[in-house]
Amino acid sequence: MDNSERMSGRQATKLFLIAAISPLIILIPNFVASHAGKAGWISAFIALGFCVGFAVIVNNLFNNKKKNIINLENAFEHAFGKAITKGLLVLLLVIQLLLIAVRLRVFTERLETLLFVDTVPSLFMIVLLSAVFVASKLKLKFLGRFSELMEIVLFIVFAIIISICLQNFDITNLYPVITYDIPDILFSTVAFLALFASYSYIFILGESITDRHQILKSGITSAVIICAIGLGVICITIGAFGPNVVTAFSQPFFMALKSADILGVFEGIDSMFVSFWILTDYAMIIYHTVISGAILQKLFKLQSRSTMVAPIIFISYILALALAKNFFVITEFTNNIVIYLNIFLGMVLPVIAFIVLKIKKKA
Amino acid sequence: MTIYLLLITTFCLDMITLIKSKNHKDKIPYIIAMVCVTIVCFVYEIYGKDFELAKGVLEILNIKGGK
Repeated sequence: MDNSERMSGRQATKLFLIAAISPLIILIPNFVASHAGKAGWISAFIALGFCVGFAVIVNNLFNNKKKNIINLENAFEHAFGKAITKGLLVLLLVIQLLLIAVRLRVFTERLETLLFVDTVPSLFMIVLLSAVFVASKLKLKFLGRFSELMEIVLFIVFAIIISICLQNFDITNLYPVITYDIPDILFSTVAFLALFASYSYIFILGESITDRHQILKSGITSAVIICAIGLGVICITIGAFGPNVVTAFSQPFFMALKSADILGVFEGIDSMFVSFWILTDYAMIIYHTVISGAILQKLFKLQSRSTMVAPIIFISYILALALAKNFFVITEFTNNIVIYLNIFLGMVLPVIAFIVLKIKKKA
Repeated sequence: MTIYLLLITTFCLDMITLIKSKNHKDKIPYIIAMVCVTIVCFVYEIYGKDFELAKGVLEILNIKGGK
């Protein structure tokens, strides 16, 4: 294999991490506020345990002593057989396309409501997808470097934003927490699990991932970072407005940012934030497009991963338009169907495969 | 109309890349995929304007967003 078509385990994890930021901001505050209310912040700590456990399982699957599992397809093949693996790959492709379509709609909705009111939504989609088309055809080495650079920039920006927004934080919105909240807190960890489930998808490119000893450390680090940012986002949204108001907002994090103002200096920081947010959407769509390309490469035994990028992008565009007219329907569709499908395909199936491989003594 | 222009442009660019890189194995699957995409675009343009996939799925599963 060409050396430029490889990336390290650390770069692969970072690519996932920057792709997870955008859905985290949209999904976590609403989901946690509607299910766990004031006690929602505790779910970040419980989710951390699940995510670290999953990172350890992923490491044991792809970085075991026998070195016999090359990629996710290979793991499924050893565990479930060839025919079922083909079916699972098709399902994985469907969820990737759904995730891209939903993200595209969220992206256009955000621009329409926040910056460019009464603009044709397909215009934003075409511009973003053109950029994704170019980036997804790049070699994995460049995507790995892009993720390393983006990670630093994004975390500096988010650290600044969260520290600015914490001024509106009111502890009474996050307290009291009683024992009756425990089932709701446990249920609201679903949002974190849905985000972290996307981690296993990058291992469909397993044969291109080198330095596998880095997978454990970088996987655990990414779990900690996701839960820490999730906790920060919950605190500044539910902490500022209370759970009932957050449930009513479509973009609570942005509203929290809009209300932040320190001595008039940081007023208007929201427009700068939107541009960074767009960058995370871009990273997320690239992540899923690259994975879809790899799935199609494996399904049709293609020579190159980037051959099918154009068909994937056009199908995602049509799917995004055909998904729904109303943004409320898309939110309901994501919260009731897409996140559970994502957990099943991205988290439950690799765990089952791991258990089966352990029983068969292949992992 | 824009979508068809984009389809043609992308198809031409990709075919040039495939020929230049001597990747002959991928040409036929790529052409088949692009033909399928064009048909999907065409069908969506004619019949799919009022189609709402998410709403339909929510209705089938009897979840509130579909009603």
